[in-house]
Amino acid sequence: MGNFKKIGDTIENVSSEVDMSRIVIDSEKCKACYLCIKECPKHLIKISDKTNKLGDKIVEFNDSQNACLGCALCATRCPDMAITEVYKG
Amino acid sequence: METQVFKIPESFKKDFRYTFCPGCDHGVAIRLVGEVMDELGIRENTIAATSIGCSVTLYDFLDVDAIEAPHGRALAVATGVKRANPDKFVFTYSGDGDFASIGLAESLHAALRGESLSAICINNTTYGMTGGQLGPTTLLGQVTTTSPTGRNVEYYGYPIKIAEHVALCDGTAFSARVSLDTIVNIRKAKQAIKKAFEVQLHGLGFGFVEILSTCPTNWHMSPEQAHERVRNEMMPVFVPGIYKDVTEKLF
Repeated sequence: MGNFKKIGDTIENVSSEVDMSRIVIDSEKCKACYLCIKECPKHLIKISDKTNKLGDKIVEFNDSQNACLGCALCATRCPDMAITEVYKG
Repeated sequence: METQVFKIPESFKKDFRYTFCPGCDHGVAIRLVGEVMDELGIRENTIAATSIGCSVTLYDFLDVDAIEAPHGRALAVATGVKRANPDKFVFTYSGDGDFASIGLAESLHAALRGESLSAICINNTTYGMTGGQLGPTTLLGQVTTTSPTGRNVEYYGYPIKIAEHVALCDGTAFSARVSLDTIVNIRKAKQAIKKAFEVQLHGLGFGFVEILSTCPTNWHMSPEQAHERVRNEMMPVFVPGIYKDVTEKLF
């Protein structure tokens, strides 16, 4: 019974114990076309301040609430395969 | 327990990086070819014949044996490769200018001979690599660098509908037109490419897929606007669908 979390624990605390859906972005492959941003049903992909070697403002995946569905719509759309891996938790 | 639902296809070279413009649908089309080759397990047995234009760089990304056959001769060279090596899987990957203008004779006669080949043609209504000139598939009214007032019928004639022409050839086993503007259509495109590859593997004849693609650079549009143009302007003229499928009668 010791493994159960008490009511009131934050999502962040619980999430460390289970595998959550996530994507992996290769920043050097991203060419900043931003087609993936519109595809994400949870709006988890945003334009970041980081740039790659070519100076493109690349996208970043920010999922602090563990909302990612692992649907891979972003990876299916990405014309440059910059989203190299998608995991469904 | 997490499961991987997407990965770079095994048929791709390690450390590849696409050299296409941002938002170009060539990347999606080549990925679909790689995924289909993975699923059919044919990469080791494949020879590709590539064309001229942006599609020429296919062999930089896919880990297959490839032979360069520029200026529309891809299907002529592929015919020789396939006849000398009938046990190999041979496919061509070209753009509309290469397939339907410079190489129209080679392309249609390969279909008429019923060669056991698979051909993929990317239709983006312009010559992309050379700077956006008027191509065989340029839409009526479309402004290009060589039709600055838009394509008009009196001077330039009508655009060619490639999938319909290939479907009329008696040697064709499968001819389809697909689009890459939405996720649903990307999945349909993959099914069509798989079918075009399978008709060759079963020795049924010529397999062909025309893929409606974007050229954001030469259309002077954002990648998102380019997909809207495919939906609103290209798809009413180049209607997606399966125009010939001999396997319907077989199964």
